[in-house]
Amino acid sequence: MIFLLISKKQLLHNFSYKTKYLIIEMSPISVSMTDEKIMTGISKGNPDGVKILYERYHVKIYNFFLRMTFNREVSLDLMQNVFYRLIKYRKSWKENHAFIPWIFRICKNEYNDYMKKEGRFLNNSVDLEEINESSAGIITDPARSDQVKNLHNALARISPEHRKILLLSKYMKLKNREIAVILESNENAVKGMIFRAMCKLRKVYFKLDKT
Amino acid sequence: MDCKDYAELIKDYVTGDISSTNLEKLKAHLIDCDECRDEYMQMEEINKSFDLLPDLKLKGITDIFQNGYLKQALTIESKYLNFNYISKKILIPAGIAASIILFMSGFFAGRIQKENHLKDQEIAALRIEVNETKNLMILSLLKQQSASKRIQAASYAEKLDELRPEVMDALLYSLNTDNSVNVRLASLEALSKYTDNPVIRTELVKSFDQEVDPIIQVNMINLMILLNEKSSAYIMQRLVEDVNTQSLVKDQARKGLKILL
Repeated sequence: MIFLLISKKQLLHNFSYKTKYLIIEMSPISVSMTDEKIMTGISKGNPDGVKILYERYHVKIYNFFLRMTFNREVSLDLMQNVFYRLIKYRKSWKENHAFIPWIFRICKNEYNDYMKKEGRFLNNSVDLEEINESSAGIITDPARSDQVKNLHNALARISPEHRKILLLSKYMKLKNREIAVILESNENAVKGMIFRAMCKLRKVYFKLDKT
Repeated sequence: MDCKDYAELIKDYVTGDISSTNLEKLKAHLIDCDECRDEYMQMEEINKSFDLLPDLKLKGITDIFQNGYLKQALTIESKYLNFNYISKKILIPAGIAASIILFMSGFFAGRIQKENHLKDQEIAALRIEVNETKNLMILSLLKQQSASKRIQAASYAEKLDELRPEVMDALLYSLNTDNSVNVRLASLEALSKYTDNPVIRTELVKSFDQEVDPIIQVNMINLMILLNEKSSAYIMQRLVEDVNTQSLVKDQARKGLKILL
């Protein structure tokens, strides 16, 4: 009897968005689909899309956390947690939103939660040297790899808030408008924040450059 | 415009929000102003450094969906996901199918029960038929020449569900008239099983009255005592008083009188 009641309820629910649902069902998740369409599919209960979004973004997100923490182990955890949250909070996805600001908002929240929980005990920048070496292995030009090393060292020395906004703007190449969405702020404030962070970074960067 | 205004343009450049005309103006100013040029050049170098930042590969884990922590998380959440997905695709049709099956099975169960009921009726009809056949068989057996066949008929008569009137008549007839004492005894025994029937009782008393054979008389007396048949007392009285009655029968009749009266 209970079973019948449940199925009746679900049946009604099913009918209410049957048309939308059919479109998703008829077009299987494919590599050519936009992030937003895939995410809509996930939010409607098709888990196949998670892997595609993971393939598209996990390296960028991992590298974002890597430059936030300079700790490989923590970055890996945070990156995986982001995708876990993506699945967990799939219902909060709105079809007319853009995917990238949405996922980076998750990244930001994940990082903040992590800092609240473990920040005091975080062994700062444990893998900084290793990350510099790995980067030098990818960039063959020694002058350029020095530049990257300098940037890493400078980033490790400024505050997480400054680091975050610079990474979003300069490394992730997000627009100020998108960053405003992520940080729940407005464009002008974001511009101010980027400039202040850049000034701070510039000081540290060129101090290190001289030594 | 002074350096303060150009500082604003540098800010626009840093935040990636500068128009091409403003950039031209800024660059023209940089030729003359060392301070602004330094700032601009440094910002440009940092921007370029950011462009050089490589995407590093994950260490340790090759496929997170195969052996990583995310796999566990996904499997836990996938249950919900798959449930939602599956429930829409499979569970609802399955639920409908299940309810149909439930309904059908109930329907067929009812039918089978009804059939069983019919079978019960058939069995009852068969029993009646068998009973009738037995009655007929008894009748035909009682007419047989052989005494043993007639005894057999009488013993069959004991086991009947229902004694048919014609069989009853036949048994009474053989009780009263049969040549063989054994057959008459068997008939008496058979009839004694149906003494609930008042007709048989009165008939038995009648034949007791006419009886002359001592063995039958003793059996009759015993039966009357068993049935507590008071109407047979006068017969016993007569037997006791009769000079010709055998002593064994007389003793039995006295016993019977004591108990009945």
